[in-house]
Amino acid sequence: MSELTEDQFRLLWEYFYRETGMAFTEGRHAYIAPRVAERMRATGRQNFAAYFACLTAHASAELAPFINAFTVNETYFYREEYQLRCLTTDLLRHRTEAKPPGESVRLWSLPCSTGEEPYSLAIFLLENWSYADDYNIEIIGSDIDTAVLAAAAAGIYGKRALMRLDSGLVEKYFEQLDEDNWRIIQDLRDSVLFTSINAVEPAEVRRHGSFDVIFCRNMLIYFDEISRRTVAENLYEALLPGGYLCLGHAESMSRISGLFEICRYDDAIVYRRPLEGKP
Amino acid sequence: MPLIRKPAPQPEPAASADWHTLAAQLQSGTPDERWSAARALADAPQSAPALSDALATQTDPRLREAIFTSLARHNNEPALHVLLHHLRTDDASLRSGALGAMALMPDMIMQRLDALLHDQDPDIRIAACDLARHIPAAATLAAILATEPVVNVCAATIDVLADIGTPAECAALTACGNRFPNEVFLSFSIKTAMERITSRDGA
Repeated sequence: MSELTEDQFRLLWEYFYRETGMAFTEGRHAYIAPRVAERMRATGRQNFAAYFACLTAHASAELAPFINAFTVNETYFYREEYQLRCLTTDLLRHRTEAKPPGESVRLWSLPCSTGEEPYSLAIFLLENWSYADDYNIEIIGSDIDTAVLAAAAAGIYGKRALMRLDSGLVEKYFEQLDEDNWRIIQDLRDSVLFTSINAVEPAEVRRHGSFDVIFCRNMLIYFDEISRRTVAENLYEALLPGGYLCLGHAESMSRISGLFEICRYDDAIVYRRPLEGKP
Repeated sequence: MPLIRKPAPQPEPAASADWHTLAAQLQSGTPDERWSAARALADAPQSAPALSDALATQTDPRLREAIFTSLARHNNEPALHVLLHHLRTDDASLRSGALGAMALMPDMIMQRLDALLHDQDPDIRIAACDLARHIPAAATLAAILATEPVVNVCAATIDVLADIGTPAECAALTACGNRFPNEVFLSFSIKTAMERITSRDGA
């Protein structure tokens, strides 16, 4: 396929933005053109006009693969481990202060990519939170990319994804399939729910209920300013009063929204929805 | 294992309240209803006046933020009109919220920037400079430097040009310094801005 023209780039940009809230930037032609070319090949469309018509048709089956082509899914187990330590040493301690044993603790990994983060949450809690047996821990992983959700549910990983785990954890929570691949054990696969989500859409976020802690790392960087603020309000709604939001280490909620309190703990800086009556 | 998995959440039924009902909830509902109404009115582009009324009477900062976000999502003339109105109030939190919301509407601001930079109120002109920081407006700001009578507005303009200016704006910066020869801080700002522009250009 020849280079995208400015008009074609703008058409794609506007459509992608309307559907996802995520913004392409001017300098990303080189990133976008080959992905569009790949989708045109996959759908058998000979030119941009035919592909764009296919993409934008009502209830198009091409929308999900198109979005999937532009999402970044590079991650690994125990990424930004300091936040996991913060979860078990501080966040859950505060969240369970007024929660009797037997109640639910709900955690949300968003975006979850191919599952490394929600499974990491599960493993880290089982290994490091001494009250894990006292509560019903519910972990949900969500992503806009439907292809990665299928991979997350399958739970098969290569060496690179496991590089931060010591051999004892690998042996305990994975079964080796061959020289290069491991599958997370059935118990864990059965314990994490994976769902699709467009985080810009309030109704899609709302249907997931309320959470004690949300991990939303390295997602907001893909949105423009207004979408970022909309997502921040969606996440605020999705937190229980006093619930926590963990962003990526280079991200700051302070530049996006004033809805959250900043909480500084030994291992991490996180954001909290104020308790009721403390706006 | 203490981990549990519940069934996947189902889609919520579509909201049925019309925007008049939401506007009424915005004024008289519970805090949660007011918050939800403010957010839902983002999808009612005709509701800017109702959102404006609520800004005048509701003081919960969370609710105000949701209202400002909805106005920004309207991204239309009525919303911009409301935001400009609140940018002129004495309430600092309203002014700050309005400015933040306007910054989320770069296309609308681009169209109105010249008018804002010529507003009668110097505080509005300073706010307009701030809004120009994230849009391609260097030439427009440079033109302002030739005629702007208030030195603080010039200083705000120079501060933004230090971030977004190009060598093409340096002559306007120099000329501005010549218009205010006794304002030492302005000379310092201009020198700093030009250094930043030239170092960026040479990078």
